[in-house]
Amino acid sequence: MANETEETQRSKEAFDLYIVGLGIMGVRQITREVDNVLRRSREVLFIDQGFGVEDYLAQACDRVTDLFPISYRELDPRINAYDRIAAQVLRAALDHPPVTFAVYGHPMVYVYPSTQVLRAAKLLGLRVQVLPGISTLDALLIDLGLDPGFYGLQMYEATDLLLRDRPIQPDVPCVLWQVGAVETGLHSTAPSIPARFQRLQAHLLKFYPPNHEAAAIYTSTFPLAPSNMARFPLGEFATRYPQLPQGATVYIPPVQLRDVVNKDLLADTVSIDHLDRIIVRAPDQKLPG
Amino acid sequence: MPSADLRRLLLRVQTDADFYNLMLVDPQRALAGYSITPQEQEVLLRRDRSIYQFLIPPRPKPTVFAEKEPEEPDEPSPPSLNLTLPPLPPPDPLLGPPSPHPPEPPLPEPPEPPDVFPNPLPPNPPQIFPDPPEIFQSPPIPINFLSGLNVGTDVAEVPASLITTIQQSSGEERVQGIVQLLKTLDRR
Repeated sequence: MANETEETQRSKEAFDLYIVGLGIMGVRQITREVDNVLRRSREVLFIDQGFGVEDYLAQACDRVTDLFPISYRELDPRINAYDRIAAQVLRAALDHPPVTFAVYGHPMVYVYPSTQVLRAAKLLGLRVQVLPGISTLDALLIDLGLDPGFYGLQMYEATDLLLRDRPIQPDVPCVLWQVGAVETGLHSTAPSIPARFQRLQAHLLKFYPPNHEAAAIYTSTFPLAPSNMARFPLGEFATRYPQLPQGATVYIPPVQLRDVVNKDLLADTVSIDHLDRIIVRAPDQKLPG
Repeated sequence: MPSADLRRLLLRVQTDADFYNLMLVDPQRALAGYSITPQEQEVLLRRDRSIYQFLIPPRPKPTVFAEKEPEEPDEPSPPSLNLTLPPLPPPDPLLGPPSPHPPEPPLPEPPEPPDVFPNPLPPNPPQIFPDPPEIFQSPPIPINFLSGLNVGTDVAEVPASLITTIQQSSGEERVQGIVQLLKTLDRR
């Protein structure tokens, strides 16, 4: 039970728990607001194997806990690791707030423990603030020169794609996450064989021709190192992916672009008359020109 | 494992913008103050994915998980490594003086400005894996998500007694209570 000192300390702080992203490039992408909360935390619990991350955190906070080695166990269901991670974070937030849970990338992009912590914290009366980080997706858009504003973007977790038999829109750029961990909820660092990816390849070939070229991208995680990209036809997906780093994300460009079919609306988008029908314009607001 | 000086250099690249810039425009000058092996220097000058071999964390000692894990001490644990830390931005004055850092080699005097100012960050498109591609050593990227979950907006029925137990307990008992709560909230 919290003693009086802890209660006093708690009353001075706006939050008991921060959930933050550290970016994907060591310490170089740590934002100023994240750095601020690291420095006011009584403990930082983190999952990030990036070079220099622990060193940096140890300068910002006296008490730093690497959750990776105490959570992940070879061949153990990953959900157990996530339970252990979330439990340690919540315990720390109850014991000696404020604390920070710092994760690789963005805390709400493919980080289940963040969701676990948020849901449980609400029930436990903990005050939480979540701060964004630069995610693999952010870097991927740079590597690909892709702005999702043009054609949209669809992205799926690889195993989830298969579990739910999700349809893919072949005219929309597609990103597949956690391909290296497809078809298992267990933690394993062992290399994969082509058989692991055959079901995924078969699913993709329902929507794309076998000669359609995809890319596997290992986004740069260090300032002096480049991103790496392998291109291969989807018909060779199962044989090519095992030769790549486990962390490579897959990008599938559209087979063809979808044409504008609503020509009237296209014309309306540059029409003052149309705009007048969908906004309330001030009487004295003059037209340009 | 990188040598001590290489480690110091790799940490500095991430936190010292001037040094990083010098590594891009004149790496020989940037490396001049560091005692690194010819092989390490060659990799740094190449600036390709082979640099990742220096960034892989040492494999953690095998963890022996007892039936019941010991409680963590409340006192902060001492740093596990003898760290040589890179300089940081000025700290918050409210937090007191920063811890002392060993001095970094000073950056060399800037060269004479060239006639045409070079782009310090030339376009650097992703390198293409050779054909056939090969696995390269890379730092592990944590797999932090699990598929097949149905996480809705509804709040599962959680016994009030469980919340009370968590709030009033401590140590391992508190952790076990939280794990029970998390499992109640999971929906598969």
